[in-house]
Amino acid sequence: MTTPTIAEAARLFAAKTLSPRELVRDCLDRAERLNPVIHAFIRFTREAALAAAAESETRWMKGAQRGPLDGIPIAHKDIYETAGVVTTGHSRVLLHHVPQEDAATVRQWKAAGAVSLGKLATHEFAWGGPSFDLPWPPARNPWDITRFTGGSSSGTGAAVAAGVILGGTGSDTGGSIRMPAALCGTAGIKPTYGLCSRAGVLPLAQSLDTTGPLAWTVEDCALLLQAMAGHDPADPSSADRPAPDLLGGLRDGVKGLRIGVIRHFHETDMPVSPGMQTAIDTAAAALREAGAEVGEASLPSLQAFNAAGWVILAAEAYAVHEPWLRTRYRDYGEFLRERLAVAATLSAADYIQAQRRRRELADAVGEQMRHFDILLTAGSPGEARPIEQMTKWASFEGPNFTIPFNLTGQPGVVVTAGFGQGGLPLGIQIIGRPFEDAMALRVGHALETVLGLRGQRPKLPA
Amino acid sequence: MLHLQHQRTDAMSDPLSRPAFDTAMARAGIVLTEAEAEGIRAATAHAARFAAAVRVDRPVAHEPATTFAPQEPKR
Repeated sequence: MTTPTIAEAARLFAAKTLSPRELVRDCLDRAERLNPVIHAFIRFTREAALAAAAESETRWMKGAQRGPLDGIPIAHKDIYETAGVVTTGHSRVLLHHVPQEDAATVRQWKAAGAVSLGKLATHEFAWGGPSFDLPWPPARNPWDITRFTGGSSSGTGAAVAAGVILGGTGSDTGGSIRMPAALCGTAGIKPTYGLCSRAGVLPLAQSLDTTGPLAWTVEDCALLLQAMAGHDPADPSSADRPAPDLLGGLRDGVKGLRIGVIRHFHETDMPVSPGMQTAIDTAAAALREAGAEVGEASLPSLQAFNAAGWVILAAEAYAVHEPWLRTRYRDYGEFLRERLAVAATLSAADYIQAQRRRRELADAVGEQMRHFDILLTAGSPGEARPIEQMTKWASFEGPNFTIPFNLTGQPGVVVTAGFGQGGLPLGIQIIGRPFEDAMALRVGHALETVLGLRGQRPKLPA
Repeated sequence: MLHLQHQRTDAMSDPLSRPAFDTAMARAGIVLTEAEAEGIRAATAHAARFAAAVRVDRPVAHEPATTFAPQEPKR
């Protein structure tokens, strides 16, 4: 079976030409068969999935379906707590942790009828990877299994790209939704900070953490995000405002929108591969052709964002893990425990200076957003690198393109805008104003439609 | 308005000195082998570089981030 998108599957369910049981069973079978190759899952929940699919099928047959996610095979990054199902953070530290309750998003997607196939690989506690000394191996990129998936939502990126789930949960503290989406050739959105609840999700750095979906298309991301957006009093960072309509304007196009390409990010601050440069130029030209006004945005340097983002992320992550580091240091994988040990050397003044800098950087971006509705930049420097090049300190050495928008809290959508010389996908970022996630999705959908690249899937064993 | 200037030196992107590193690890309760300690200490150069980069000159009383707003109790 060719994996449908969520929107296509819902139409096929409605037409009764595909059943949830058929789709869930097919996805599960392929996921289990491919897992020794791509390592996207660390745990399957087959029996529960088949039971949920049968219930969904009954609802569709009665015309009592809960919406477009009813019967859709999804899975959760293993930092999302799942009631009665072990949730480890891909770590030996929580090897036997069985939550009593579902995370808010798990509960919301379940209520919408989505069927979870299991728990997905992640970098250890969303920061320590790709590691080979954990209870499970790191996920592999389905486009080339010698390559890195991006992280930390590595299993979600791999499973969506492989077509064994139609969507899944990720989390994004410094780019952990957008980087795997870019490198695995899926769509993904880091929503505005505060749009989606983080209740029941293992934290990394709480002033930066966001939850969000990855899926094959931007439309599918919008469907998934719609089901998880909204205020949750159980999460102190949750914005007390009504959930936005993320679907109504999705097909409104880009005519008249002002789009700013942050050229200095990918041309000067962190020069990208020729393929990525072409992908960005192609996307900008396509948006101009579709009626957008495309100009050039100027922000503080990528290095300035990266310094503030790294200090905040590291200091907050150390604060989360401090008690376990004292008592269970050797239960962590080498990458995470040593990164956290570096974080332990930061001072209180370092952290406060970084938070001050964050506010100034966010104000500078806010000023640019008076002139532009959307910003455009790279999702990564180029194609996915060989996994063995992702060394312990690699992520400390150069800036990434994603962390600026964790600092500012803005929504960021990743869309595949081309393929590199190695045949691997190249994802770019579409950045909106805070709480204008719908506009970022709208531009992403328009771009995805005109580029017409969604027909290309990685070649994997049947 | 009074400004404080951050003094920048090469040391701001050097690794922590061994005594300072050992103190930080002791405070964190992290026990390392000698080889681990030297590897992690070398990586503190990255942290020092980032910590230096977030220090920009601004008026001493200018506080853009770490203020606190008391909330009235809910009735």
